[in-house]
Amino acid sequence: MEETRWRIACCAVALTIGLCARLPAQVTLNKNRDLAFGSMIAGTSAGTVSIATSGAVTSTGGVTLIPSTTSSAAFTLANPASGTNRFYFISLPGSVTISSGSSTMTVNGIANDPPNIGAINAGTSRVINVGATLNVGANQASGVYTGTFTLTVFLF
Amino acid sequence: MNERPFFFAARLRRIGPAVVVCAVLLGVASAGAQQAQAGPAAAARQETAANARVVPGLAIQKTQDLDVGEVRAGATAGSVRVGAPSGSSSDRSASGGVALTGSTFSAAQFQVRGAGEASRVHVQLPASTTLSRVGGSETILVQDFQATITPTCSGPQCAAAPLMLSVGATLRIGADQVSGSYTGTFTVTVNEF
Repeated sequence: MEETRWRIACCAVALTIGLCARLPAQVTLNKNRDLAFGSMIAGTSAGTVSIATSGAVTSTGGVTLIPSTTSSAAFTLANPASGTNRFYFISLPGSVTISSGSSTMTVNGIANDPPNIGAINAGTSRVINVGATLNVGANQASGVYTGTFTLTVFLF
Repeated sequence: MNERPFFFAARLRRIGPAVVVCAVLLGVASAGAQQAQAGPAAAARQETAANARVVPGLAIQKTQDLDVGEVRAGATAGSVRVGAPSGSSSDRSASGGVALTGSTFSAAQFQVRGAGEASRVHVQLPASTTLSRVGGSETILVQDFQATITPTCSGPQCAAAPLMLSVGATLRIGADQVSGSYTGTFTVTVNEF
């Protein structure tokens, strides 16, 4: 009897992701919430305001937090039941600059929960929470500071 | 002719720090083999905003005293009230034996700066205060203080714009209240919660 060998060809997907193919039609990534540090009084010494991925807010140094609306950023990554099981890799920038007129502040320590790598099987969805630290300068100028950053999710 | 059923095979293979899943679906209906590879690399992106509001700290500044204006006391006791319930303009009313005269009057006005959100500002008012006649000893009781907070600006460009705080009250005028100028003071405190 003729022996037939089935070869399992392993798709050699390069990990150095330079190629960005079209997103598989099924998987979706949507933003639920922006990153909001709320309102604060800048002091005569520099300080920080940190928002954990859980949304908890803490401050250090010369910054005084005042009651206001704060939130971690949140996204939903969804793989429909008709999709194929995949792995994801989350990528975020190291820092972001937010500005009010010519005044700026740096946001760094951008962190995500869940961790960078995980599974997103067909028929499941994941909420990705993003927290960060805002660096407030001494006598930081008053104003509403805004900026944007991009969450990238690579799919395998 | 050989026919083979479709089957699905998956093999996990560790490459470097990441895990790559390779799935191959093979189905053979005839001599020709159909082969499909799943899982090309792809990326999804979402932009999000980051924002913060720096305020200079809560501060209150009086811009107008509470001025009840001129009234005529009658043979029976009464009251006169000055307030600004809508925030922008003052109104005045009298009851009992009190008659309103003159046309100048105003609720007290303050500017509040540094409030992060107007809805979180709490105004503390006295329960009452007492006015004394200048050059005499007669008094007038002031009660029912009420505050109204109104924004002076709306929209995202109003981050540093102050809030306007108006305060009104009611004066108890006695029967045949002695004529003269009556003055006094009261304190308003604002907090943010």
